[in-house]
Amino acid sequence: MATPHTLDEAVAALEAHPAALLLGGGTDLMPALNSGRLRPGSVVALRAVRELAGWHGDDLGVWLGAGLTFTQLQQPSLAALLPALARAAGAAGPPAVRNAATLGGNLGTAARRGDILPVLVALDAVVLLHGSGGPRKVPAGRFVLEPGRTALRPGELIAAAWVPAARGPQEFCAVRRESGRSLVSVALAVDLDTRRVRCAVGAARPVPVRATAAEAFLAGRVDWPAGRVADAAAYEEFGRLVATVAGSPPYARHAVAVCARRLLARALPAGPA
Amino acid sequence: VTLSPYRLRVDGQEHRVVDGRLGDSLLRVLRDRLGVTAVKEGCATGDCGTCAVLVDGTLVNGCLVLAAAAAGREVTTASGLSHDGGATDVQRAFAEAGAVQCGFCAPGLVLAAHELLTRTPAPGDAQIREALSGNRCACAGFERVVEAVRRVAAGRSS
Repeated sequence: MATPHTLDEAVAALEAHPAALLLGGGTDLMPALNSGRLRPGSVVALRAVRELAGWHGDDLGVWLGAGLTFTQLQQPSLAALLPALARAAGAAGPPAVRNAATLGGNLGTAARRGDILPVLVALDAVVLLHGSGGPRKVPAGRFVLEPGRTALRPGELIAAAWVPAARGPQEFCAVRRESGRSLVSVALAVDLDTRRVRCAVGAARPVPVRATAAEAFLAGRVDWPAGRVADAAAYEEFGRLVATVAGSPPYARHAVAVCARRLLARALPAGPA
Repeated sequence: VTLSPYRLRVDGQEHRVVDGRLGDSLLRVLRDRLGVTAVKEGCATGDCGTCAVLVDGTLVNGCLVLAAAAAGREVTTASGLSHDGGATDVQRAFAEAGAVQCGFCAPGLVLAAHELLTRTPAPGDAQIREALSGNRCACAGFERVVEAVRRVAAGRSS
């Protein structure tokens, strides 16, 4: 087992043991080890890697270290900047799980029903990777290729996510199965300056999808200086359009429509200011 | 894969784990190698909270911690909450409020309650329920568990 303290040491450890399992918070990896489904030849534990810890924000955006736990994503100072991400992290399990689960681990596992990636997609975030070839960026919307498979190349690991700054409401909603995993999730981000709404649907399809038709539909229907929707009928139509990307079954589409409608109404209320 | 010996510090005591296996969880090593029975094995998937421990003061599930990765960190179980080996106010309140039936979930619940009250000395009911939401009790004694936590908070503030 390797316990690197720097990103370069982590990359070197991965190079030395290409088949090594990467250990973040353990919440996905350990059940697989406990059940015997995975038998590790070697493990690279990332907890002590300095460059993966913490977050910082500036005028351009927010940098989120891959080692941030879900509990840290919920901290008030960060939640004030990225409320939808905090909400998704806060609903992802009980405290003991959120204390361990990490941003990077969640992205790397690439579970279909993961709640973090749809939010990052709606926020137009970038996933920052690091490998022996140096750093590399992948848009959040192109990071997961299919459940369990990401754009990571051999020897690369997830260093961080970067979210561009945007002024405006951010919302997240999930409808869950009894297991606690999302049946569907919807994330929505308003950018009052560029006058755009970005909306992503998670869990309904193998990878998160942007609801681009629904986004375009809103273009002429928002009073941007006031941050309001002129005609309340637009909520229903927005929900319907978002649901068109959700696939089947019908109840999942319905859940997406309801989530999307409610999120938009919360983010951009109806009527004159 | 067998690991070279490593040290685990549990409830203030140093242990040496010899011939540990790489994939072993902290739960497995605590129970099977070190004989620490205050952690219980329920689901081994992080869903029940019966194996809760504090690692460097943070509440986690022992089944989701790779044992070798806990080397050099401070592991605390429900047995290690009091320095003199007696019951803490949380443990006494659980007993007095009738919050323990079969007792299987109790160590995990006690740790979760302890951690909550350390962070939030006067929690509201919603905060109590949220903090204990990862601990399943099949005897369904949750009302009395919540009452026990309320009593500790009241007792500490008076």
